[in-house]
Amino acid sequence: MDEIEVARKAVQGDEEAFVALMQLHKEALLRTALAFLKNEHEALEALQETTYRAFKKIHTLKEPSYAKTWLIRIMINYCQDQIKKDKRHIRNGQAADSSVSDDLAQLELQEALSTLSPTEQQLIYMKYFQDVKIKDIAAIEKIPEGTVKSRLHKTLRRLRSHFEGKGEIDHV
Amino acid sequence: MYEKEEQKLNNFKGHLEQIPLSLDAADDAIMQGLERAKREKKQIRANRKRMLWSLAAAALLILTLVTTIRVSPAFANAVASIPGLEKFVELIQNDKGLSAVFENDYYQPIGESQTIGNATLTVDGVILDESGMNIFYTIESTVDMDDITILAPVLENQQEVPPSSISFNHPISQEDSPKIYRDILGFTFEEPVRFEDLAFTLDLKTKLDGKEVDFSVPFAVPENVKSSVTYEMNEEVEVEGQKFTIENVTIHPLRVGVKIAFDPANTKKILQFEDMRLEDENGEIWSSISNGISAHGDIDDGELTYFLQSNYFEKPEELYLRINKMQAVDLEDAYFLVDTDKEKLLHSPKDGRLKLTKASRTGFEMTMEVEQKPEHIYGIDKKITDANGALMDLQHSGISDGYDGVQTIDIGFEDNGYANPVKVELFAYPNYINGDVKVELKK
Repeated sequence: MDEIEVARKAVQGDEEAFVALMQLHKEALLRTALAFLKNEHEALEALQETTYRAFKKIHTLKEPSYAKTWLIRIMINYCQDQIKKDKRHIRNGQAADSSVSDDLAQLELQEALSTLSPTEQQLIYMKYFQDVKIKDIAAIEKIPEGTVKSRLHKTLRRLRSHFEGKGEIDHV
Repeated sequence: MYEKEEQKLNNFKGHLEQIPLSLDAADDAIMQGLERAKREKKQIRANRKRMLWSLAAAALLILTLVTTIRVSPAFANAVASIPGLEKFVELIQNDKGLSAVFENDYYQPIGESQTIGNATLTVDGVILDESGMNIFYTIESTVDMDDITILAPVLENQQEVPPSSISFNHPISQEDSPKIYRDILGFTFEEPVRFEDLAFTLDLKTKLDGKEVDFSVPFAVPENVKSSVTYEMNEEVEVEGQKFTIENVTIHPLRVGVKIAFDPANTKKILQFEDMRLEDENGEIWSSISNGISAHGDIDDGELTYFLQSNYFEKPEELYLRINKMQAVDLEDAYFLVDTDKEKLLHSPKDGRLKLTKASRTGFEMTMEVEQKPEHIYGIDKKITDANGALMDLQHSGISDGYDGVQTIDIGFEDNGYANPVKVELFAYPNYINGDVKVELKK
């Protein structure tokens, strides 16, 4: 069974296919969680929560070929909610695994990313981390390709101004 | 243009991809998430919709969970043009007949309210026809209402309001805005009626945050009802040897009533009509079961009126009443007996789907095997009595959807010293008879 077929069966309520679908994308999902939450324990919890939400909502997935991005969006939404919640308890650096962010340049990039709006973060993540094509982002978000492009530009511009305002630290 | 930024992003991506992952732990997380979702689906959906029945006459709740929501543009426009109504959309859009009521301006805005303490009850508007009245209302409070209970809605008119069954949603947690609660009270009159004077009073006993608040809101309905259309049929039909007569079909704006009489010589008891519907000559469905079928009367009296969604505002040239699938059981299988002291199922339908899993003086739990997830979820009990024929003091009754081929039943009652065994007359049971009933509606 190919990926789309698995997704189609999962949408129809086939539980085994759903598990197969999750297995297929677990790595991408975990890495997504790590990009946002920076710690493996939280990432695994996020994967559990994503599985839970996805199973309850799988019948709403209209286009099986977008199953992966659909799952990743669920994951990102969860992560962003977690971060928002955590902010109330002040997120400290200790929560991060050193393996995830030990590099100064990357810490800086992460800080820059965290200043973006949730939608902008999602866009950057889909485009640069999941290599989703602009055409597909447009289809999933139901907006014209041109809009995706201009949003992307705007977001990159914000990243740049963040770096420039901070005084850039070149990575080694 | 943004090469530098893109480069940084790509570096981060490369870095992320190199992080070693524990994929076993990932598999565990997936299974845990799945189990949690499954458990939740299984949870008994009891009491989600409560119906009060004024007469001992039965017929009950059915709820199919709404999965998809589609709003026709005409309906959306109609709703948008009535201030305040958009809040009710979720409650009405699944019923084609109700949607048509709005598209045809048959909803009548009212806007009368009463404030008691912190809380205000507003009658936003009504839909009135000869078969009943749907009252759209809002309870608003200046403080959070954690607990909202609707106790006893009563509708008054100087003319006698016929006994009615009343449907309303049980306020589950109103997570979004605990200060506002909106719902529809659906009064279905036992007999069609036309009121001369359109001044009504809605008496609504509620419990808000543990305090009893009794509202009484007088209101006048601006316009009288559109007349209902009755088709006299009196046609006897037969399905797998079981006979019944379709006496008449009445089309009201709010609902379609189908009156059916059963042959007392039948060897099976017909419990539910699964697919009763009105179709045109091309097989297009004009009216079908809405939120599960509901009915007035008691099948033991041999006569029942079933309700379908209304097609009042749109009528094709030819219209047929059609029935293909019914739930029916042999007469001796129409009930089961539980001894709650000995924790034993003494009698149940012979196909053995029912199993007793837990029993005590205050209730019992059972499982029922089903081949597939049922289309409509019915409660199982029509009437529960003790060995002396006294009605049990029922506390709750619930049934889960058919997950994993099993429906879970949970029935609870007061231990008022009743005598065992407890007899439960079936309201529904997944045993079917099939046929092809097609009767034309002729003027």
